[in-house]
Amino acid sequence: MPITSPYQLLPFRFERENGRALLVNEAGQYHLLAEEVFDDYVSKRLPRTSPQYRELKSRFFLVDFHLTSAIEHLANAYRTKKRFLWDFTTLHMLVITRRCNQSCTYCHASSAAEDAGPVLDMSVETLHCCIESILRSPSKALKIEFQGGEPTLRFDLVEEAVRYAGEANAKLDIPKSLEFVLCTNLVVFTPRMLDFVARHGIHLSTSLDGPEEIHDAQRPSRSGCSSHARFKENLGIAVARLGPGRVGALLTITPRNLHRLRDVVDEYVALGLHSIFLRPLNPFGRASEGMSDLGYTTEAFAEAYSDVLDYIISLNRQGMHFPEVYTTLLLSRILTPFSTGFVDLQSPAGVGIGGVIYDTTGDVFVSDEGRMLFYATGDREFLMGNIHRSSWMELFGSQRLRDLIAKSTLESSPTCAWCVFQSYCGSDPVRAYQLHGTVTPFVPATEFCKRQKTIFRDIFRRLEDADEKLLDIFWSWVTARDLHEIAVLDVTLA
Amino acid sequence: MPLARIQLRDGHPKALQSEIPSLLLDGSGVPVSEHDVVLLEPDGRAIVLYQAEAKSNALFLTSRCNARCIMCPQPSQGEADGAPLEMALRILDLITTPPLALGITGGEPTVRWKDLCVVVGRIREKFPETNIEVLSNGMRFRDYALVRELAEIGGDRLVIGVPLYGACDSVHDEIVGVPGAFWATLDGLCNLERAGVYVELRNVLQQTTVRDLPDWAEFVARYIPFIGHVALMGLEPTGQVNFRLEELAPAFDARSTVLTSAIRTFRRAGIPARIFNLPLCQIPSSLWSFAEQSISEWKRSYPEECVQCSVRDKCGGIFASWSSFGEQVSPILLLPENLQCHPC
Repeated sequence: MPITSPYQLLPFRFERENGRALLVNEAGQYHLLAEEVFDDYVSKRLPRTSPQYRELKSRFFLVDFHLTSAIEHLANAYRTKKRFLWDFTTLHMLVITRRCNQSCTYCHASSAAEDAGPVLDMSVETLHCCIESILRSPSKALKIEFQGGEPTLRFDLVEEAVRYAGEANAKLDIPKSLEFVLCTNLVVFTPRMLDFVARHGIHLSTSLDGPEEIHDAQRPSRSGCSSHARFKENLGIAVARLGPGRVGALLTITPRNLHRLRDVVDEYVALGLHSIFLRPLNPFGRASEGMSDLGYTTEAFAEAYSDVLDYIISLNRQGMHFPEVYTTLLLSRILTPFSTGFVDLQSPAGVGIGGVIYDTTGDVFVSDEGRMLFYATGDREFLMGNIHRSSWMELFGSQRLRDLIAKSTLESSPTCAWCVFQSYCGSDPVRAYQLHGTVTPFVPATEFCKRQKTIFRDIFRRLEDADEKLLDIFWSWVTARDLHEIAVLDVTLA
Repeated sequence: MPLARIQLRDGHPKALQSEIPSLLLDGSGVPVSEHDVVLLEPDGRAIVLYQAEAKSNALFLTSRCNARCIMCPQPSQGEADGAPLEMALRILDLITTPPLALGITGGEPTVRWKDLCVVVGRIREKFPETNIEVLSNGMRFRDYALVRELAEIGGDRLVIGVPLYGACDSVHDEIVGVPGAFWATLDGLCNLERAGVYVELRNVLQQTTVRDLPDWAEFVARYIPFIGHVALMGLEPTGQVNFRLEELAPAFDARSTVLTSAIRTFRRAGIPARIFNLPLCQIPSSLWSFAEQSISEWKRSYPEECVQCSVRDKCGGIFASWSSFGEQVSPILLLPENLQCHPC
């Protein structure tokens, strides 16, 4: 009988499936064990000389004689994972105008007609106030994102924002590093706009829902004519001038494109885009009104996601560097020790403390979804204050915000504290409130959770079965490098 | 102290030293070149302590150590140290051209802390562009105050080479012979990072470390990814190793498999990794671009068979001390198509 020495289990979460156990430690490192070994491990029957003992120890799942040291280094790793918190609010979104020249069926922003008049635009005074407040953020690097409606309808405000921010930033004792993003449908994109964007290093974030017939059906111009042709032309010009690295596109998945995601990817490739961001439908704005027309089941989504991911991987195997952005985010959390701040999926949630949005009126919301809720129902639950009336502390240091954050932390949530995917997942309290009436719903029953778990299990299945090339591909996404910089190639002898 | 710098006079190397105007060195032993530094023994031997032409030289600081690694190439015999600090300082005096790098070794240099600080300080002062590579087991760096002190003296030229032999204490401590060594070294590594000191993380490929290598690579990438680069070193059959060669020398196949796995892990994580002290024929050709020609000229050899090898000029040869053990090399007769060798 082998000698077993007493050892202690370090904190971990797990799930059993198909005769094996998936374990994740406090630092977010995962390990797979055959079920019998898992049982031995938790019952402290694992012999010290066994390779499994050594593996579990080197992955901080158990410790024998040096508990304090193990905890210190595990704590180091945990701190590294949560590094995104140190920088506080780094994403600041400015609603330049609520007007828009499109009328997307699922419109997230409940945007108003183009000719609704400048009362729906941000005033220059409000813009300046917002920028001054933004520069008070403790972070050394800030991202300012222009949103709407459609910001290009008031491009003069975009220009003013960049100018004013640069000027005010230069006056700071320690100027910040500023990054600008312009969210635009690219329906109107003049040479002047392109020039400005190019000169100031602004990134473009746009939407492409698929080939022409899909894109136009979901994202028609208000005038009724096709937006795809104009989009395609302007996108080509933008990519040619800025390079594909500075133009990102995301997709809103609806029943119309759900079963044609491969065609959508082909369209992205054809139009010169180098990545895709698969984003499931957001139940806000117009979307929630027409839920019956725009809804699809979690199962349908999961199947479609898995299928298009297969396709995207096959393109990468053929030598194209083409990541799926959401998968890349999750892989970064699974495969690396590093921090990934993504305001829509982190613990604690990114509401207010990761990203914040400033409305045309100067109202400040914890997130875009919080703003949508207010438009739709008048509910002020996620209104932090107003830039003209509230001090910085009143906005960012309020008891209300702190309570919201405390409730959105998975580690201390009764439903998520035990989840095997906790280290990789996040909280969306505004969505929870919108759909379930509370920021602390019974999470496992939500469609959000079901979808997340399906995606995680899909990714872990792929990791388990992956050949070396697939792992190299995943790492090429995670580290934003080409495959040839990573692969250790076999050299054939002549 | 009878140290002398070699200087060429009329085509014959001579020792330049005030007491002895000239020294004739006969043909036996290690050839010397101009600007080398030698120690003149009373019995007539000259021991080369510094080779101006060599890629790397090391200053020996002490034979004492706070560990007992089973494959130590220079095991401490408990003897008194002599005067290594004075020797080191005298050598520094005699060096004429600033070297690219100077190593500081032992034993364990940190057990003579004040001496270490003096030597590092002197190198910094005399040769401000020279990299100072201290080889250490890292355990004393658990004390952050010491790390800060050394970091201030060495500045941005300081490099610490620290071995970590396993991904957990069960593996590492057994090799190092000191309980608690793993955690002490880990603390030391973290402290070096806090102080901004560049670390070369080393491992020596013997049977136990080979068995653990894939886990070790994952551990490094996960828990100490901040290290500057990784050095995977082939075993040298000297000192302690010779008594336990059968136990320690790894099988080539097993070693090749884990090397590939470890290099893959580091490549993916973006951590630079190099393989030292192994001939190209002993590792898979896919790893040749990671291999360094690292064995010092004076202890390296190319066995007879190497003359047929098509990649001999890119290969670092083997430790001369392996020659007595036979069957070390197998010349590569066919040249690979897309051969990539590290440009040495």
